[in-house]
Amino acid sequence: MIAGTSREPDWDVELRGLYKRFGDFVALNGIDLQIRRGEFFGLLGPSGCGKTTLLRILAGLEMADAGTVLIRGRQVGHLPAHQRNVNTVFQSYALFPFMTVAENVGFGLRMRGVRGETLHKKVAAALELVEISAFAERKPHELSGGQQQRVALARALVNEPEVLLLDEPLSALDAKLRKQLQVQLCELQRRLGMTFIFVTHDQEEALVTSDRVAVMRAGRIEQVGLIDEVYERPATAFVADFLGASNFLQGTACGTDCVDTPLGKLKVLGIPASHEPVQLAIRPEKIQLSRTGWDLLPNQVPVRVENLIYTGAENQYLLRAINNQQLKATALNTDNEDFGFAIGESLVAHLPPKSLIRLQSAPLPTGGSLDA
Amino acid sequence: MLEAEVSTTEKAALPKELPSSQRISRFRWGWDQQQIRFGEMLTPLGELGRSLLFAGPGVLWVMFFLVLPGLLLVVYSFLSRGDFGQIQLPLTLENYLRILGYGPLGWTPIYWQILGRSLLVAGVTTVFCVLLAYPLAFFIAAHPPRQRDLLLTLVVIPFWTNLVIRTYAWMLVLGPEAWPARLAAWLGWIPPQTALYPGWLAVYLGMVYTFLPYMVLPLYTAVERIDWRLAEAARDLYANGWQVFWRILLPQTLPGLAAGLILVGIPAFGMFVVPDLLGGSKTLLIGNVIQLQFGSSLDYPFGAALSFLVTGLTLALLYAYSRYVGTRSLEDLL
Repeated sequence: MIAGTSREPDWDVELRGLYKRFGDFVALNGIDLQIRRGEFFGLLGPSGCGKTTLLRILAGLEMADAGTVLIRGRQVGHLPAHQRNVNTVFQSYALFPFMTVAENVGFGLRMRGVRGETLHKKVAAALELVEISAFAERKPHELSGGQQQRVALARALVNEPEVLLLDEPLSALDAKLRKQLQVQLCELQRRLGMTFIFVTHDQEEALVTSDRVAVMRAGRIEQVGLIDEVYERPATAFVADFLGASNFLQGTACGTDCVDTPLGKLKVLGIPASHEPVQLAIRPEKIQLSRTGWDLLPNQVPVRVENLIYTGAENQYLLRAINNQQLKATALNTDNEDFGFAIGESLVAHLPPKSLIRLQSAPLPTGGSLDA
Repeated sequence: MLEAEVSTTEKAALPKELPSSQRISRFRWGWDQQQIRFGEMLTPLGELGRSLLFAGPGVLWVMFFLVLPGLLLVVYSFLSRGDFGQIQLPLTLENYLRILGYGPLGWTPIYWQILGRSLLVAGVTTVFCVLLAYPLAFFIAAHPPRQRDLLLTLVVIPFWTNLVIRTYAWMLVLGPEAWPARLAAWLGWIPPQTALYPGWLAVYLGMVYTFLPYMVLPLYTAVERIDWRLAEAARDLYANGWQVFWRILLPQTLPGLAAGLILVGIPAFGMFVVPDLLGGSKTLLIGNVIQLQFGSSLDYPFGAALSFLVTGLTLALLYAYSRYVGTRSLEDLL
């Protein structure tokens, strides 16, 4: 049974109504998701949100209780892992300790009956691709963490899978190496044009690597979209808080483009004339600070600097406004005049109307017993 | 702290005219020179005393009950048997020549045959133990921890009874009145009212039964340590169930298998109780021959020569094995 192939030819992965429970714990609670061919797709969420379960269902290491899994338009939900043209880079790498690097990388090919010169060439090319040719005859335990990670990557890539699944592949590495590999992964993905699905709980990692992301929470997908879209226009408070940092403001609409908040009446774009409650969010870096204020700009709020965290590249300010409302703001560490405010200083904060995001009113998706 | 203590004591012990460069040197040596050894301040003499205190009893034990008897055995093997079984001079190579087949009645391959037969029996026993122990080890490891303990206890329980008694129990099981013999008689394999022993079947049953736990326990330990994430990775890399078992799971159990091979193979080679009770004259093994020399034959020198030969052969096999497989599994065993 082939569904959807002609209608949406460029979906590499399609998930419909996936549901999975372990005992009383609902790991996936109705997942619908489409992933394009050749995109770097991030699955983002806190631990226990179901992202790894979703990946394992795609790999065939776990079977969904209900729902459809289509890879390149083919139903694969019933197929075990070894019959799927999908490979995984595991969080633990799961390299075979009793085989050399080359044997590890060649394992998938050998299982598919590739032998001799072809096998040798493909393995050599894969090792070349991730720059570990020099270690071909070593055993995994003789390699560093970063090198092991590359072997795991080569072992998956060499099979030229339709989809490459990466389960937090960089989480065991130190910060600097992680950042380096994030960029290299991106470059590799672009060069190969392969669909990568990348699971991570690290929002920064998702931001750096992914074209599109799905933010997951408690077995559901909270928001799907291009990474900058999701960052700039988070749909819910959860997304706004999980991906980056946010200030939240509760208010009520007070006419067109007007919201009455603890900070006073603010101009917010896209608010219809009504009196319904509105939840707003604004990113700390979108708030502008000044000692003197600006002429002719709306949404200027007097604030006092309560605390300052110096992080090198930027300064993070904790501000106190009227009605005891707290605001977080960050400013780049430039040498401009209007920079370097001290604790206790009185300032004017500008909340640009287009930076104030209206969130979906329901704070939580109705997740059944999940959050109980 | 400790560093500071060292330097002060060293200073006190040193004559004053030494240059300061030597005063801070850590690598001086003298009988009264204290150094940190095993986290304690000790002089070399003190260290020696400490070593003797801890290792001495064990060394003495091994000397008196293993090395000396072994040497005695070697000496005996070059002596002659008197008319009444006494051990006497002259020194002779006759015992070894007799094993090689040069007896008083001309050349006979009898001891070669027995040696070969013993190796064969030990080998077959080991193979059957491996074949039975693998499923059993996986079966036990697949249970929840509490049930595993129970199952392991069941495996060990036979050890609580003496081997001779257990072997006699097999004589009852294989006796003419018990159902295995009746079934065999009904099928026409043996005449009615006969037992299933003595014979090779009974010997192998008894041997495999006796040595199975020695194979199961190390194998179970290895199976329990299997990293199942590797099995998932292999699945992901297109390996089917059999390929996962052969290429991923089995290699992880090899240390346990190596230990089991040694624990079963060596004692099975020298076994005499089981073939003695469940076998007849046709199933004479090298262990039985040695036992006879120290028993009814009263030929200690010949028995000693045979023992020495068996021990040497075992050591040679172990050496070859360690060269081939590596010593890691042997060290694990110790």
